[in-house]
Amino acid sequence: MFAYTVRRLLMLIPVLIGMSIITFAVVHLIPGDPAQTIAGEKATPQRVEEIRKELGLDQPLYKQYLDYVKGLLQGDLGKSLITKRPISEEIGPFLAATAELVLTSMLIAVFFGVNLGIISAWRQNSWFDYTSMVIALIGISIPVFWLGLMEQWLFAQTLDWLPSNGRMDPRIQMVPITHFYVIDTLIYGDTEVLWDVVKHLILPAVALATVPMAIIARITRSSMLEVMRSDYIRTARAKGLSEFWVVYKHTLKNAAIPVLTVIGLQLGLLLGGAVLTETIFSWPGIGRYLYTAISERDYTVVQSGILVVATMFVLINLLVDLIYAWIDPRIQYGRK
Amino acid sequence: MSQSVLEISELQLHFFTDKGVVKAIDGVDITVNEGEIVGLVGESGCGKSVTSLAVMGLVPNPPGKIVGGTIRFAGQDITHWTNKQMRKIRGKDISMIFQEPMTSLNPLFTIGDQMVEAIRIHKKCSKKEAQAMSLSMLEKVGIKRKGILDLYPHQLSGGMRQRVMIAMAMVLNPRLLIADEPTTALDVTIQAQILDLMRSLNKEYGTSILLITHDLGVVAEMCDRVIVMYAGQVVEEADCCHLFKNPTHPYTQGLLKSIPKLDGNEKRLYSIPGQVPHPLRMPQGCRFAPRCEYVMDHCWSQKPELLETEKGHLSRCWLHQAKEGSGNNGETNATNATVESS
Ligand SMILES: Nc1ncnc2c1ncn2[C@@H]1O[C@H](COP(=O)(O)OP(=O)(O)OP(=O)(O)O)[C@@H](O)[C@H]1O
Ligand code: SF4
Ligand SMILES: [Mg+2]
Repeated sequence: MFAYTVRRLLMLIPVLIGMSIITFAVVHLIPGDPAQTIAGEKATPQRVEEIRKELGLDQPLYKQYLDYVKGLLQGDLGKSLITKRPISEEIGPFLAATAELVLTSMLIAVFFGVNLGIISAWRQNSWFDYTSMVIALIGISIPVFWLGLMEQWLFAQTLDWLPSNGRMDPRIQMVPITHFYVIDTLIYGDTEVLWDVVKHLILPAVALATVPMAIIARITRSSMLEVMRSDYIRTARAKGLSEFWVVYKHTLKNAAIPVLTVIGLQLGLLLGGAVLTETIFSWPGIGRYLYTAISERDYTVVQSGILVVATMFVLINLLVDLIYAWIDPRIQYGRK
Repeated sequence: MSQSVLEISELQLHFFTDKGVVKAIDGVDITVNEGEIVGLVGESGCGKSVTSLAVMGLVPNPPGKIVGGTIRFAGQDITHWTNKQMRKIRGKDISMIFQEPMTSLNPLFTIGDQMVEAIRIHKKCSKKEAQAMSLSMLEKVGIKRKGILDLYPHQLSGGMRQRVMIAMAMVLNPRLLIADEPTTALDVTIQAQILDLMRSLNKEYGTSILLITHDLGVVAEMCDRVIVMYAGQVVEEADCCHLFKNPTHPYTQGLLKSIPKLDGNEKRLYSIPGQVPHPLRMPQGCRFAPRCEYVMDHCWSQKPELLETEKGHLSRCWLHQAKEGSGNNGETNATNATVESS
């Protein structure tokens, strides 16, 4: 397992280099003179030169790239052109907001998706199976923004059960520590605020969870059905094992591999898909941070934002691969 | 009667599928006595596996359902036992090993995990004790490899895996072991070793064995008694040597003729002409009629029963059943047939 982890980590290096080249190119592929474009049409020549210096655009290309990578290695993501603050400081709260939202929806999607899939497979062709697969099909087909708006209309406007905007009641004052508000409120031990934070999370998390939940349910079901037909499941039954353990131990572990792949993929997609949900629910996440940066032509923020999101994507994939190897001993030995 | 471990009588098991009712088992009588090795032979698809799964209560239901007959194990009628009742005896009193050693062990759990599990389902003991039991049983089946308990199935060969399966099946000392083509997937030398092993376990523990195979050579070597199945029915039953010397059912005669001989006189391999009937379109009378060289008129319309021809020798064929008007003709034919094949 250790050797496999090391090998897998080494394989990350070329990926990360590739990503840094691409994000580096984001600024340098701006047509015409990047400094001029960044400064805007009406900028004075001095301002354009200032920006050129500031971004190091007067240096030769290879040197610019090396400086950029050197910065990255020290955790320096550059400075925002607009606010002039280091991006690595600025981006944290936005990243945490998105991570909190995405992880919550993934938790919902995995819990319900996996269990729906298991029970559907277990009770194949029962009314439960049919109902949950129809729901899954609907879940996959519903556009997230429409679902989000419907949720707001029903649960926030009409029933007034849940808030529809932001991460917590704006009247509450809290000095964030981790910027994961659920964790922060737990640290402060303030259950009332925790409840408020959770209430804010529910609608956007559910909206975001629908599609992955439906996909996970379907994959879990088909994967379980396939495994249930296999010889070793028959062996497990022939030993006298109870149906519960046959399903949750022998079948689930074998069925987990394709399910994990999908969970990893969906987690990555959620990261990107969160932008829309964040907009609908005014969630101050990375989506909004990037959206603002693009509309304000804050190129360095766009560049680093993409790099951070892409890195998270890669790390999620790494995590999924390591979990595979942990589950399936055949992978570590190089046999698939 | 009290010595019989397994007693299946007039079993009927049908699969209710979308296309129609498949009468996969339609008249099966099998008795396995204490300490006996009984062979169950027949062509592919004749219902050998379904019969054994029915004993274990593992036929998927739906679509499969026992519609007639009884299965008695150790004197108890287990025909309609619930899954929960069956679980108590599966793996403890009746064990089963399967044809596919490569895929019959769960690839994600170690050999140790899987053996310990098999023990601790039925026996209250610590993990340590279960491991010790596993190790000594594995040693009995000829696996002395160090650290075997920590290995995964993919690290073992097919023959090794089948040994593990046998060890797992035998570890609680069951009264009956059902072996469904345990050696079909293995090469010849390994096959012989596995058969030897089963025979010695039978001797040592007195475990009764129902050995399913389509290899008459294996039967001749291993079994005390043989039961021949054709298209979901038992068509002949006899002591092993008796059956080989004096087969009475035309299907059995065909099977024996189709064993390749090494004396070189035979120009080509004999095979029974025709094909197994389609499960949805079984012949009305004798199921073997379309392929039988002795077929008579009433064979087509009337079902023969499984009746004793001599003591301990049963056959399902009109040739041996006094059917008024045609009996004589039949008897002579049968004698001829016997002479021809021996
Ligand atoms: N789930 C099922 N649904 C419908 N029919 C089935 C099902 N399982 C088995 N059968 C039928 O039962 C019959 C007997 O099958 P079985 O597997 O017992 O044959 P077998 O004698 O073990 O053959 P083989 O030597 O190939 O293992 C087959 O004709 C098959 O069509
Ligand atoms: S009953 Fe008739 S058809 Fe069937 S095996 Fe006997 S002789 Fe042949
Ligand atoms: Mg079979």
